Amino acid sequence: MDQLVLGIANISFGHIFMLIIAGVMIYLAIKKDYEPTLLLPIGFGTILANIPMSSAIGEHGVLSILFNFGIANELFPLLIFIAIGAMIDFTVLLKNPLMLLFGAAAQFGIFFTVASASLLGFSLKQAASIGIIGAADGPTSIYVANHFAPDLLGPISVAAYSYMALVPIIQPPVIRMLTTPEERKIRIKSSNQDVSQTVKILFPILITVIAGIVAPSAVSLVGFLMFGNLLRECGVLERLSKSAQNELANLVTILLGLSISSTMTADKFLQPQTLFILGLGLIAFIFDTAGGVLFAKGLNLFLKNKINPMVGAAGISAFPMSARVIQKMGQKEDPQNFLLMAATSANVAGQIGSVIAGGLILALIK
Amino acid sequence: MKLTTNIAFSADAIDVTFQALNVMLKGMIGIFVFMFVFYLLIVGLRKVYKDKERD
Repeated sequence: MDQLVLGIANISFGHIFMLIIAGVMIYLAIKKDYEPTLLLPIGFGTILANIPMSSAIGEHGVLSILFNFGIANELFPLLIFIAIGAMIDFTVLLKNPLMLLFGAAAQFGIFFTVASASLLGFSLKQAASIGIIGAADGPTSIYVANHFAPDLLGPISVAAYSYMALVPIIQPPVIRMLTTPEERKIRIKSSNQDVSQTVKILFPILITVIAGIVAPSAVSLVGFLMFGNLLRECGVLERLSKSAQNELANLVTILLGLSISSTMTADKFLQPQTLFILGLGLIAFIFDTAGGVLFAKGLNLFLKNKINPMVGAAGISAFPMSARVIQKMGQKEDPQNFLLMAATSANVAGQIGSVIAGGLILALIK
Repeated sequence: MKLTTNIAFSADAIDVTFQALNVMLKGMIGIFVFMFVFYLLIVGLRKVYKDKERD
């Protein structure tokens, strides 16, 4: 009889609180459609991890086994990169390569947050793991956080995916604050020149070689992303490309979400640090947006054909949400202004920028 | 209560912040250099292969 009430006897306030958090994540995923592919598995896994005396965690627990198999050695985030690479069409960026610079500027929030977290008392490695939330790129955040501060992986992953889902709420007020109505009405002429298939094939290969030679620590991140893109663009592996975009992405996403949830236990998550991490993650997204917008405004001082500074904000990696936000804001100011093409180019550049930023952080912090 | 590795705004925290600012400077320069090189790469590739495919 004692065995049957063991779970009830061991239930604590922490367990109950974590079950509520799990419920909130599942609610947000299903009812609000906030990154459901990740928040739902993390939410359900959090239930599994926080049942008193849970057999899902611990040395022989399935969630812990999955974590050691796929996150501790960084396998799952890298496999996700193959899928993301296969999903991205770099053509818009190849047509408007200047937008690459916004993919750099909008990573400012990462580095600003690293400095802010350091000032709040986090070690440099913990601060870097928190700052990388600003990559607006789940797999990069998980990859870097697992490298530097595996204990913080749970709250960092939750913050990264939650804020990515909240881009339509976070970005517009920051953009409005930093731009004038006239600036938001600027029209951008996008290039419609065709890009040859050879360029599309050489691009992922050369990017991998250049990034790998200059920053070897970035080669796994960049390489897997670009490998996925090569599958897409090579023209002879459509079956593999489709598998990467669908089966691989879906399977690894399920396993990734469940694995992360093994870190969502009360003793790790219910720490005052978690609140700091959630707050700093928000700061990272705000300063990413500000970095992109202000860089565009600075660039306009030298350009003959001005760029709508809102497009700079799309330089974050949250694809395609950020580009859609910019398009919507542009049309609100001027219904005939179509910024989607330019914003998508910046958004795709942000995908590359976030991966490069992750690699640079790994290289710069020992 | 000490929540983090160092006490917020302490001398140790400020020391780490200076290291972080150094990372920020190098990181932002690094990322812009990377992106500029990629920009040149795309412009170069498009110039070379547009012409060749026309032939």
